[in-house]
Amino acid sequence: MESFFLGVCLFLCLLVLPCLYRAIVGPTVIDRMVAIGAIGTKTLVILVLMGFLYKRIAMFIDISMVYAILNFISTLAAARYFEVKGEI
Amino acid sequence: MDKKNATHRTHTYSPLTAYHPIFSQRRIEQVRHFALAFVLLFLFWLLLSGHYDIFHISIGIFCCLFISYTSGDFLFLHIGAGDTHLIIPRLLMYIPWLFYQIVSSNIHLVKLVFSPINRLNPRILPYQVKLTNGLSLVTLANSITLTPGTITIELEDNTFFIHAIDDASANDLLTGEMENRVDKVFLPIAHTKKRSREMLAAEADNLIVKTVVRLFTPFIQIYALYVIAHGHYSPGGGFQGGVILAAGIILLSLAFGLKKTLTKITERLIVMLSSLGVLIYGGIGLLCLLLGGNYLDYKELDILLNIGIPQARSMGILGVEIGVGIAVMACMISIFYDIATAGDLPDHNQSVDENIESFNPGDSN
Repeated sequence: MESFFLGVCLFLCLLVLPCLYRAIVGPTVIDRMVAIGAIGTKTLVILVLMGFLYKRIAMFIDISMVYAILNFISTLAAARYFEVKGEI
Repeated sequence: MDKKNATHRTHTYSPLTAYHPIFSQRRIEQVRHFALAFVLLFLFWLLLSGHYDIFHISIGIFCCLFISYTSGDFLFLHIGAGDTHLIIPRLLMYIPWLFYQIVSSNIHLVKLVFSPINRLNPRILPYQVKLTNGLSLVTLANSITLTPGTITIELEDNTFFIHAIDDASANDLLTGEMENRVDKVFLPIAHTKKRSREMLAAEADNLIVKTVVRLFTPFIQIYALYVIAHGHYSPGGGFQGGVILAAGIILLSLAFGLKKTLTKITERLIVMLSSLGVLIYGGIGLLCLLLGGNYLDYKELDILLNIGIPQARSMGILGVEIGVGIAVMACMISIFYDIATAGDLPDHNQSVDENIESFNPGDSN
């Protein structure tokens, strides 16, 4: 089971790379925003899986919850910014 | 509405209410809300905490009382009279169905992604609903977003603007099964239509964001206090907890507008809180110095507290964490205020500056 979690973790880390590419290269700001959101979601899952690997799931759940809150707020802030500015 | 009026009348004419304003309808409602918020938040605290000794539970009770007093109101959406308690079992019946929908459309989407033929047909479609209650509109919007393939973009009066990725997702939605089920969940409060229409008018823009933020904020604050109070067992402490507390306030001002937040949490209060935080931190440090130890040498606090050196250290650390948490929260909020208004905050008694208006033009109240 442990090696399965490790494999999933590594695979998710690899999947972050294309998102990172889009976040850096992405032609529009919206592309970058969506890419950052996707990376945030992946990081959350990776954190919980790391909790399984280190046998300290309670601790890592705490960290991932903070990450989820901050991810939510940053998305909302960006959306709000575009709503007010009305341009991309 | 009629029912509420009727009960109100009986209370007005009862001799108790005539002489004791404490028994007025509004007061009873407030106490009921406070108690309910406290119970919900305390259950959340127990779920998080994992330390069930008297010390931690009493900290939890204190934190939950404080948060239910300051922001417990957010949990109640003023959905009006009606059998609101009947919603909960109906909602519990709805959630498994929603879960099944999420899983099945996930599988559909995976097939779509890996299929060699391009069957994607993304478009934005308007979707008129017959729901009128604000809460049911928010539930439907979130359910649509949760099921992969469709995303709610905007809600205007009773029309959703939905982004659908292919024909099947769009047709699934347009059958209206989800709408009917949501309607069934909120049937007990369906007769409060008039009131909810007024609410819709008042919170016309960003109804979804506002409702979700309202429900989230008290739990975020409890979580922040949990992080501060359990800093010496789990990751976190004063700094992290303070940032989460500030994030809760920032979330509120993003959803409801900076103007409204500034009336509740004034810059004056923020300056006072940041000084108070530093005072608590420095005060505990100096107290240790006065008692004959080094700065922040917690074991000297045992002379005052008389509970044994390990406990005195623990108490000292907790006190310092609280101080740091307050100071960090205040600094974060003040940085946010400065950035959001481009450093041009109005005085609390002056009329609101143009900068804030431009930050949030939609907020009319």
